[in-house]
Amino acid sequence: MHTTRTFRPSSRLAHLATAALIVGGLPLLLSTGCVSGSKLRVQAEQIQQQVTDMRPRAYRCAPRELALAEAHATFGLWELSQGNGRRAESHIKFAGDFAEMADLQSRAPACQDVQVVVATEGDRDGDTIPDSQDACPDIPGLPAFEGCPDPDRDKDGVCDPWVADVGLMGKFPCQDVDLCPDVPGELAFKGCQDPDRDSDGVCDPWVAEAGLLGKFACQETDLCPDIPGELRFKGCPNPDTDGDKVCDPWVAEAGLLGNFDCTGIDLCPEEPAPDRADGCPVRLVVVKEDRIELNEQVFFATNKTKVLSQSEPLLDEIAAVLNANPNIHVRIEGHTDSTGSKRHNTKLSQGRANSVMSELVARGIAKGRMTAKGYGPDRPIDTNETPEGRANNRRVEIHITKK
Amino acid sequence: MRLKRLITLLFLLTVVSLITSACVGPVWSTADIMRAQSALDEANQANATELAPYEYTRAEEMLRKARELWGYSQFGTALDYAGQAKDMAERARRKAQSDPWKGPPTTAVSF
Repeated sequence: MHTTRTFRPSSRLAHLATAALIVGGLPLLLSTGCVSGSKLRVQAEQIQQQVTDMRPRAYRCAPRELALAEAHATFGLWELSQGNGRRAESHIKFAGDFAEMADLQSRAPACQDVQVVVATEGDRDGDTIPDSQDACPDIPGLPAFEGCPDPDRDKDGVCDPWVADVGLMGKFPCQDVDLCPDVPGELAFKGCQDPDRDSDGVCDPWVAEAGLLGKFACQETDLCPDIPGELRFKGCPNPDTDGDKVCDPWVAEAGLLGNFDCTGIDLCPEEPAPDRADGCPVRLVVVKEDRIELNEQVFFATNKTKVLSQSEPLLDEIAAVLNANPNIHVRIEGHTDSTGSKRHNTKLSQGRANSVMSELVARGIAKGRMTAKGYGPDRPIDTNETPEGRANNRRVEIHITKK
Repeated sequence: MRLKRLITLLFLLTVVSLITSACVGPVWSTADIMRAQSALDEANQANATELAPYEYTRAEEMLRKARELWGYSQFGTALDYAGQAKDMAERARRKAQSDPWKGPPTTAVSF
């Protein structure tokens, strides 16, 4: 019996698919295996490198995690060499997790500078210097200082406090105990900077800030550390020289307003003026370009030439100005209002000018520096129609004739 | 006749060598695993888990791996790991006794 073999499309497709799977899939499968194997190897080697880098600190701070990471990285590589991919992967993952944990747990600064002392015997402080050679067996130190920490960190020749605390004074090239171990200073000042730069017995501010008040031959805190002062003025000069409770200008310039028993700025720091905000007394007399201005009237008895006693302070001040300016020559003028006869008024004003001049001569002013002139009502400065205007016109003026 | 004896002898020798090679590996590695376990027990008694944690943990893991490999009949490597585990366990015991780990520093040293 003859049979004919026919190819059906579906059967042909199945064969083609099978062939494609064999030709394409198998190499893909194999290459995937190779890639993952080499990838695992790289991963394991990276873990080993990570572990090597952090070993000193991890040994100190995360020894169990370090041991697990190291061991499983080794196991993983061995399993890889045996072709046991799944076991290798498991070990390497384990190693990676523990390497991360060891890294995290040993990041604290206290773990950083510790060296591995795996096989070191008798090193209580773990500074890698055997106790038998360590001058400070319980304090981590450096070989340069025989196993002790730096005994003089600020290098000022004064020993850091711990040296005395552990009884090692004399062992290192430094003396006394440094009250300021982090700031270079002088032996005379116990290893600190000069605590009283202006030598006024009041301590510079840093002394209190460092909690060292009472450790030096100075007291309290100096508000003016560069200017010699007094303890009662907080180390500053007198802030109110004239005692009028208005501060001398330097107080404001130094930014110290509010620190003393005075306020404002005294424009006349040597003249007491308690009731004046500017610290200056009221001036009765002001020297101007062409005259000496009087801020107060000279008072005379009515229709008389005699100066009343209430004007004596004014005359005193005019005399003081003339004494202070010996080159000035003046003309003393008398003026009246228009009430009464001109002749009488002119005579009255002349008499009053003469009186003022006499008063000044009596106060020591040379007669030759002064002239007196009565102008009567001829030179009014205000109206004569009102009492106030007439009062203004009755006056004495002092004009400068020579400087 | 002589040839027959020779063949018999060779056959016996082959059988014996096959039997011994199959048995000696497990025996040796088992003995080393036991010795490593004993060293680890001594380290444990010296409180090495706390006083030499790195060395103790390494020893413990080595031993665990040695047992695992023994289970997979990889006696040679199991023997190696067992030996390393024993050495590390002895080191852990010595460190715990003479130079114990002080624990992680909690603060920087200050005076």
